[in-house]
Amino acid sequence: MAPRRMMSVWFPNGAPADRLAAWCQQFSPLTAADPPDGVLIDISGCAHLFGGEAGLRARLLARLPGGRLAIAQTAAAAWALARFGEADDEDLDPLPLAALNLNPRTITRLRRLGIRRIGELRRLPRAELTAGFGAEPLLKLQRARGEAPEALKFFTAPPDWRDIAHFAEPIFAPAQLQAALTRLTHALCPRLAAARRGATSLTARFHRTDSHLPEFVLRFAAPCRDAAQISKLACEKLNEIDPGFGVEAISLTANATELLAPAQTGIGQQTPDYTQPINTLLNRLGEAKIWRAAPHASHIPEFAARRIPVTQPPAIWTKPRHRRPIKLLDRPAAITAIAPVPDDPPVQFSWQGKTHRIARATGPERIAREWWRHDPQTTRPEAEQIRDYYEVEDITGARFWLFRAGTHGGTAPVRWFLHGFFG
Amino acid sequence: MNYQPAPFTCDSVANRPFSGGVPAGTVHEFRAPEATAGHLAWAARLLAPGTAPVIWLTHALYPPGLAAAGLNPARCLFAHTPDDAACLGALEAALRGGCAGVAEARSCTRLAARRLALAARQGGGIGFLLRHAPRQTPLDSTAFASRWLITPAPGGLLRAELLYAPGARPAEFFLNLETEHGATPHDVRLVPERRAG
Repeated sequence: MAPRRMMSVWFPNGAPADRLAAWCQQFSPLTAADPPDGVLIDISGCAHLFGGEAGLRARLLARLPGGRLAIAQTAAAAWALARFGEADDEDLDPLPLAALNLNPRTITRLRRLGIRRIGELRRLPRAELTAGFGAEPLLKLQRARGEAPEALKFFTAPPDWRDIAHFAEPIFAPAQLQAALTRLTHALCPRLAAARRGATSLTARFHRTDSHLPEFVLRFAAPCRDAAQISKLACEKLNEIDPGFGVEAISLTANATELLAPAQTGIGQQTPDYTQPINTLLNRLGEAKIWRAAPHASHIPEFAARRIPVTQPPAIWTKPRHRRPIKLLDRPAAITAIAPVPDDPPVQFSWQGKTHRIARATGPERIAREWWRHDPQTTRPEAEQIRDYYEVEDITGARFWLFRAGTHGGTAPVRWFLHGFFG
Repeated sequence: MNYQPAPFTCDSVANRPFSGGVPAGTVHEFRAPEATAGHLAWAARLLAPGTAPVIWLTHALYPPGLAAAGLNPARCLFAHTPDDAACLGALEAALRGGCAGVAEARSCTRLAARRLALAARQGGGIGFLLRHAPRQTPLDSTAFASRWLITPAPGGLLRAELLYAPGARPAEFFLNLETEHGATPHDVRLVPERRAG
């Protein structure tokens, strides 16, 4: 792994640290405010975009006149070098103890012992240092040298579409939670409407008193900002949430939004809007349990249709060239059939203990295996890897779609399967 | 007292069933014997002319087969439900929103039937409840606009027996679902002179 490269910028008398951190987002996605007057930037993997570390350094200094900056492998080292170091020198040893951001009292006591520089501190026995001065000097030294981890609070932009309700007392009654969700929805939707956007996915998070964070996600087949519909869906989803000993705050975030132009109402003929029942089913059943069908270029009947999510626009279908059953079994069911050889439709077959006498039949429709998708089989020639489909009608009139796998006189005996129902 | 029979919602009994299309806001129950799919095929044919999305809450439905029956699969959504209650609840949500819905359920209580009929009336959706059930069950409801038994008949036909419709006498039709050139998709050819074989 490449070493981390942290840059510390010290810009006294400039803008406040948090504004500087937001401005520095143009150089790296990871910037942290370093109050009162500094910024920490994680430039690992970013410097080459600005002509390497030297180029980045020059660019920043040109924009922050009077600022000082340094690049090191740890945040604490960069901090120290920016404030106390010389340019282009990453050695910490000659820096004064103040560069470690130690407690002034500790610095005074260490100076009394004749320890003025980081290098001298580093050479002290570690056990005695901890015994004499507490854990702080050793920890800060280790952080600067990359031997101990340091938690950095990087700047994160707040989500565009989030509303939070805080409660003075934890709430857990369903009616209270429903009312809170409804209020949040009615706060969020006008903002979306003002921006001409609609949410395609919403997350409601419940901040519980015991620091659990249950959440549910609402999905929409089309961008939606109808507060009544959203709050109804949210209240239905509330069944999944365990409020525990109470909920202190609820946040409602639109994870994804899309442009949604305002609709003209009350003029001309309205196109009916069917998204509400689809949204209801999408959230009640789950994304995997509701789908659209799209045609797929395959002659194998079970692969001729595939599932696409309801959020995608419908596919374009054409009428199939050959007759297809209305109902197709997921796996063809093995049947025992009596059929004249070599390639006649059966005169009788039995399935699930019931015997069907065939009165009429049409076929065969021969469908070969998609040989370009499979490795060649040595035991059975490709010419035998076929299905001959017959549409048969038994004496009561029930129509089935049967097929024979293989050919008579081949290496393996033929097998018969029931694959679908016409009526 | 002058008794006025309720108007038959599907069509006049003497003529072709649903010849003017299925009226909006009605739910119909189609029954069929096990291991047949005539009720699916007829429901698909009856829904073919509309524009509302069709939500199929059925098992093993084959979209190219829908296309062959004249119903554009692009209009259809397919859903899988864990049990009958969820299936009927989903059908109710679809009907209330104005969508057409076709659900395959093993059983349907009278309460569920009444709810479905109400939801369809409020939302204006067309619903079909498909069941593999005999002609009569202990829980037959009169909430639906009609109840049919669809059995296959020899010669590629379907025998549709009207079991119940308010104000209608039981009747029997033979339907040919093969689309003819020039016929509207939902218009089925009747074969009146034949008896079931």
